[in-house]
This record gives sequence, structure tokens and C-alpha cells, in this order.
Amino acid sequence: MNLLEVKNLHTHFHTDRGLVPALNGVSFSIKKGEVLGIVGESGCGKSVTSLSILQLLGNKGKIEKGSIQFKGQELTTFTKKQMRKVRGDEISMIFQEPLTSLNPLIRVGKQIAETILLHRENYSKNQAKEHAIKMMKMVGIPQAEEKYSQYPHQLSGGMRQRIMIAIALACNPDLLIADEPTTALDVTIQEQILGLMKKIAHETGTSIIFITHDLGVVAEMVDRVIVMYSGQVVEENDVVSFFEAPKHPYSQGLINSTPAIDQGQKLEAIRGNVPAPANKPNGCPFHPRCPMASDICKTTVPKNTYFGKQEMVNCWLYDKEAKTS
Amino acid sequence: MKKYITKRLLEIIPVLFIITFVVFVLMYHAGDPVAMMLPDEASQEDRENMREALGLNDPFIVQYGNFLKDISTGNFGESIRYNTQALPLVIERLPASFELAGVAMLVAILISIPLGIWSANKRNTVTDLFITGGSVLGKAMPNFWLGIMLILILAVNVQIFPVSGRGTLVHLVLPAITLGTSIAAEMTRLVRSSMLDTLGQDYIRTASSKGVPYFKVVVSHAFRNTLIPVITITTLQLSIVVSGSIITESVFQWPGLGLLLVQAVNARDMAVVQAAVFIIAILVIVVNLITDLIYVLIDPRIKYS
Repeated sequence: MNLLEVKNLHTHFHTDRGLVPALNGVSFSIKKGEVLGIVGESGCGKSVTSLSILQLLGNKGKIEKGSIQFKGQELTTFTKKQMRKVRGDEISMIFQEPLTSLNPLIRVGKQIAETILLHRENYSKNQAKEHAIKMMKMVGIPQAEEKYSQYPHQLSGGMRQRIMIAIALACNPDLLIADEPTTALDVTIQEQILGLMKKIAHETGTSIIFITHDLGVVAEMVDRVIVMYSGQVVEENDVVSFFEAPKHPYSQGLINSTPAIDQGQKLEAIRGNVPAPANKPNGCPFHPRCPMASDICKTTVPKNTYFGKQEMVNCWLYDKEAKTS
Repeated sequence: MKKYITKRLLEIIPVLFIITFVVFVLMYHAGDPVAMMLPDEASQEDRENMREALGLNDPFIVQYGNFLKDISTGNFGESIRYNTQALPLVIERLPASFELAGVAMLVAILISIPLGIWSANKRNTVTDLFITGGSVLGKAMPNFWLGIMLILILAVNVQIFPVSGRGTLVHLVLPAITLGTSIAAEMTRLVRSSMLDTLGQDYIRTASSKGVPYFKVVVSHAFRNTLIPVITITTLQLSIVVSGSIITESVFQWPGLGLLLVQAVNARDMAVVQAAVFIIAILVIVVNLITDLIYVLIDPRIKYS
């Protein structure tokens, strides 16, 4: 059974300037112990997908349609109280900015202990503190006892991200959502954090959804990739086939625009930008930027084409009906 | 920390020096005190003698030097209205002023913080509109008008509160409302915008992602962060309390520093005016110092060395 199964998820934002459809039918699933990468440019709906799972969309965002099944339970029907119990305990999240994601006025250790006290009612304050220190040691923070009573500003970016990871893992969640956890860090620190997350995934069997736009990180971390574009999943593939034979023209574009040291050829950029959710083009949302766009792409949205159980692409190029017609 | 406090206390000296100069210049040009001190039938010669005796014919710099020498021993001169030393006169009015300002500030804080937080969490709803609108109204109402209206309605038409004076707690109600309203209004708006700003921060999202209940997110994660800008403005408000209380104290005949100052100005009782302005200046400086020290308690990122 899949740990998490997202089906046909539509999330809309009701802003002052009207309705913004951020997600338009996102479907994917993740198995226990699996590391799933979600890639795509900024504004394609990666973060909204993760915030939708935790229902942290704020006042303006709303899940309009679709289903999120977690351990067989339908999260979209959960009450606020039930959702609170899931957050931080069964599903937790790491954010992009370690500098601003920790409360500047609360000692870092207490921010870890808070999660533990919230979800482990039988823990005393001292036990929570001990557990927090244990978590700090686990994520590789030296002198954890001392660091426990320091404030975020006294720690480096890498250390703060380790604290975030310790918070996220404190209650041994089934699923960890990491939203660009290394983007704001130095390359050397990135490497350490990625190594740490890999080790944790391996040791605890926690499933990880890894959101990133860094294909290098994808290659290093994940088992399976989904590519998002304009609020939709356009390709789903295992990581090896994704790099060796990307199917969707957008995936091909992403890979071609990644520098590789041994190629020595000119980098190709994908022309244009991700369209704003409010003014999406007709037909396939990628067609204005697609080098292989044909007439049908401009008028009709492509259907998903499946190759076996794990591979999917949303493109007319692979649609048998389109080829025969 | 001790070093910092000492340094700040030493900084008071040059500030006071400047204040004495400004006060002296104002007084120097404010008019002839002799005219007020002598009876109308005094001759021109009497006036000249009096001026000579008081040193008013000395050059400006000599007069200023004498003034400095006097006040360095706490001697601001004698009040012409009360015929006693000016400084003790001012100091004995302080408890009344502190009482009024303190209660008004307390009322303002107790009203504005919950309202501001509430309105931020209900932003763009009818509740928010009401609170924001109310605070604009509160800010726009002049102190003296509100005071007179309160007296008219609650002391004259319906005789619940005394019209004026100081003594019991009941005496304190109307002046405290009058003085507190505009402070509460200003602070409500400030708490609201500061809260809104804080609620948009990443660490608030982190707290929610940990499963912290919303009420607790607001109280234990957002509130302390909201306070930092609020404290800054509250301090500025305190100096407004000092000047605002001049009007409020006059309206209610509240025997505080403000009333004394106004009466002294009207009577050209220069010694008292100088002493009062001097004391108010010291109060403002001390309040600012205390604020800086409160920052340290709230925000661990702020360290003075």
C-alpha cells in the first residue's frame, strides 16, 4: 500500500485579484521508505503541493477538489484538530530558509522540545528536553547540551537547518516533506545536509518528498521523480530513466539547461517563463515554450500516457490517438 | 551591560546641558519678569533697580553662567506665585502625574494589545473594520474635547464621577480615559500591523507545521515578536503622555506636573517653568533608557556592550 496517495488535487487561491488556480489535478503517490523528488521551475506548484498535503495554505488557499490519502485515511476530510495531530507527528516539513524558519526569540532546543511535548503527552518537560538533545546529536550538532539553550541567531545557517531537521524528525514521522532544504545554504553545507537526510531516510525508513529545482540534488537523493509544470504533473519517472531518457520536452529542457563539467557544450535554456496561474494558455500549458509543439498542443490539453506502472508523461508526442489521427 | 548603563547615564549630562540652554534662551526672550513682579505704581527707577539687583542687565552669557551655577545646586529660583523654591514644588507634583500617566498607559495597553491582536487575526472582516475604524476615531478626537464631553455626560448630566480634582480612585476614571484613549487608538493600530507582519513570517508557518494550535501560535510564537516595534512606539507615546497630560490635567484640574506647568506659564512664573521642563526632560531620557533595557529582556539578538 502506498503511504501517501494524492489524486487529482486542485488547490486554488482566492486573492484580491481573483481566483488563482495553483494546482490543476496533481496526482502522485509515495511508498514507505521511498524518496520522491518533485522538480520544476519556480511558480510551478511544487510548494503549494506540499502545503496542500499539510493543509497549511493560509486563509486564501483552498483545496477545491481531489483526494489526499495518507495511511489509508482521507486527509481532506480531517478536522483542524485532527490535522494538527498529523502535522509534526506523522508528516513533518522542512523549509527553504533556515535563517527565518526558526523563531528568533525562542531557544532552539525549546523549539524542538515543543514538538515533542505537543505530540507525546506522556513526556515530562525533562524527558522532552533529553529527547530534543538526543535529536540534536542525531542530526550532528556538536555540544548539543550547550546549543540547546542558544538562540537561532547564534547558530550558522547549516546548524539552523540541522535544528529544523531535528524538529521535523523529533516525533519520528512517516513522511518528511523537504521544501528546497538546501537552496539557501553554501555548497559544502548543502552536501552535509543532503548526506544527513540520506542517512536518516536509510536508518529510520522515513519516506521523503524532496522538493527542489536543483537536478544535481535530485540525482543524488531521490528514487523517483515527478516533474511539475504550471500546477500539473507532466512526467513521472524513476530517477535513472529520468536522466537517461527524459520524455517530456520540459524535462528534456530542464536537463539540457543543467551544466555538466564533462560535456563542454553550450548550455541550452528553456525559452520564456512559467505562465502565471491566472493567465494560462489554452491547450498544453507548456506549448508556447515547447520546441516540439504542434497544432493540437495549442488547442487541447494532453492526456496522461502511461508506460508500465511507474512511468507517466503528459504530452501529445506520446499519445497514440494523436499519432494515428 | 553595567558599562552600557553607565555610559547611557553619562550621556544624560550633555543632553541636560543643551536643555538648560534652550530653556534659558526661551526664558531670556519671554519678556520682562520685573513688570510682573512689581506693582503697577512702581516708578521707572524702581524697575531699573530691581533689574540691576536681579542681574537682568548683565550680558547674556553672564546670566546663563549664573543660571547654570544655580541649577547645579538644585536652585531654580523662587516661584513668584508660591514664594517657595521651584524644584520641590515641581517634585511634589510628580506622584499625581505618575498616577495619571501610569493608569492611562495601563488602560491603553490592556485595551490595545488584545484588540490589535484580534483585529490582525480577523483582518479584512467586519470586526477588523470596526476596530480599525474605532482606533482612527479615537486618534482623531482631541483630548480636551473628549475630556469636556466626558465631564458633561458622566459628571454633570449623569452624576457618576466627580467633575475634577484628585483623591479617590473614582477621581481617576475620567482623566485616565481621556488620556488613555488616543494612546490606545495609536497602539491598537500598531499592534495590528506588527501582528500582521509577524503572522506572515516563516517561523509562524514552521510552528503551524509542527502542529501547534493556532491560539498558541499567536500567543507564544507571534506575540513576543510583535512587541518589539510596539515597545518602540510606546516609548514615543510616553513623551506624548507627558505633553498630553498638560491638556488633560488642565481640563480635570488634576494637580500634576502638567497643570503646574500651564499655570506657571500663564503667570510667567519662570522659575517653575524652568524646573518643570527640566524634570520632564529627565523623565523622557530615563524612560528611553528603560525601553532600551526592556529590549534586552525581550529580544536575545539585542546585546549592548
